[in-house]
Amino acid sequence: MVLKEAHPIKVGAVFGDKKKIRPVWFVWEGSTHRIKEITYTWSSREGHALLYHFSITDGADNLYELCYRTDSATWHLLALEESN
Amino acid sequence: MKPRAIMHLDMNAFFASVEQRCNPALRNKPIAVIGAQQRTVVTTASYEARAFGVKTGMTIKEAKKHCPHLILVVGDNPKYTDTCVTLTSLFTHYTPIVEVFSIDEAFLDITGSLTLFHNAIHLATLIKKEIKDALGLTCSIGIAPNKLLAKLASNLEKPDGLVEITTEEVPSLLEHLPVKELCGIGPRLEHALAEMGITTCGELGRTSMALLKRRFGIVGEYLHAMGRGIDDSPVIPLEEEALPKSIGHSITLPHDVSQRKVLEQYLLKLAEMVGRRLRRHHLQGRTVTLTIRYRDFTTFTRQFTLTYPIDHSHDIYHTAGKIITTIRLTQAVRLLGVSISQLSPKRVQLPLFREEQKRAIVTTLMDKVNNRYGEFTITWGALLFPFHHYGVISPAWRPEGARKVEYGHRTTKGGCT
Repeated sequence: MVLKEAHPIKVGAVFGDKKKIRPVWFVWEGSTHRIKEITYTWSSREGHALLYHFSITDGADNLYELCYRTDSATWHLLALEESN
Repeated sequence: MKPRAIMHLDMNAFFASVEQRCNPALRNKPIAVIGAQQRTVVTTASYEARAFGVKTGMTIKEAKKHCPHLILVVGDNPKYTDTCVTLTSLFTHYTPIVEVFSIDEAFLDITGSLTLFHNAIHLATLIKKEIKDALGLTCSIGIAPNKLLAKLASNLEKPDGLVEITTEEVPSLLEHLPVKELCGIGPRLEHALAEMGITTCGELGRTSMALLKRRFGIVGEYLHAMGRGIDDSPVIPLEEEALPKSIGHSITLPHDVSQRKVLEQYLLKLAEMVGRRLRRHHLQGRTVTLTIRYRDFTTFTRQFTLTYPIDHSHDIYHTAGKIITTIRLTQAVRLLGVSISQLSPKRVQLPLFREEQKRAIVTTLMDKVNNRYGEFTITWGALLFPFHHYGVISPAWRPEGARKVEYGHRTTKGGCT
């Protein structure tokens, strides 16, 4: 489900070599979710800002789309789909 | 002369495969990727959905009739266009001569790379592995002495195929192959050829060129060559692609619209999108074309050619508006399109009059703001109506240059570190 607006969230991430970013955990609705799998990554632009998108699953197999904005160094939750 | 080695690479059920990678719950299930608009069709179906008869272009109702448990996924264009950019960059590890044929297809001229990679099959296997490792996606690859046969080869084995057609195999392969299997022969041409008693490539190749030219003009010459598996067209890398012939955008309206005032708002939005692309790529054009599709899908175009080239959104809007006033609308409108052709590189003419100077300054400033903060951050007051145009990826889309369109995505202004 795509959220009506992007939610600013707190994310723990590893900024590795070769400009790779790997989110490890994030806080959503008061609880910390460990990222089980990064299923897909892509980037987009909003004006000059480069946005990195991460499609990820947590331990409960819920699916989330996280986004990192390079111009403001901020993280957002854009979509989520809870597993049945 | 050494024969050419051309590779055609076709990503399998591209949009659907990307969505199945993103969401593990969709893997091995029948899914259809649909547009973000309210009235949309299937843009890609997964192979699991294709097994039920779901095809590109079907309405959702039709698709659901074929496959009641079909899962619909709204497409996300930036995801696909960025994947195409990644793929194009990956191909250049193997050859610099890469032609992006569409968002999910590319031709690679690997003639010069064969000495480095032993043979074409080995090279294709490496590419397939790199795509699978980097993106988790599969593709079908065709290898042949030219583009026509390479495309044919990639179609012979799907999904995840790898087929090579050698020069020696061409006559026997084409002999009984239906003409419609060749890229460029659509249903109308197939029908016209059938009327001449030509249904296979073998028959097409044996038909005299004079006869084909009499019936189809210059195309007859190409058809004669195609029937014999001959195609001398080069693989054209992105940087050598010619300027586009036109730049345009269209919108399927959320509801059929009859009121001219409302249509004019959409025209302004389209004119702004066209104008932005022209100015970004330092182009200007003289012929403005308006496309209208009625409720019953009747589609027509009208155009107006100016004596001077334009690139300003308001000039494009004004010209398109002039065209629409000459049309007596007989039905409500379903789709509107604006394009501009007769393109040429922008020549700078300093504005002489005060009004023109003001307009040029405002346009430059608006472009600067939108370049910095994203499209439509600052726009015309008349466009402040709640309509989001996510667009459909056109077959002419390319990862670079004037054919590149940045598609809309969800905004993320503000946030946490």
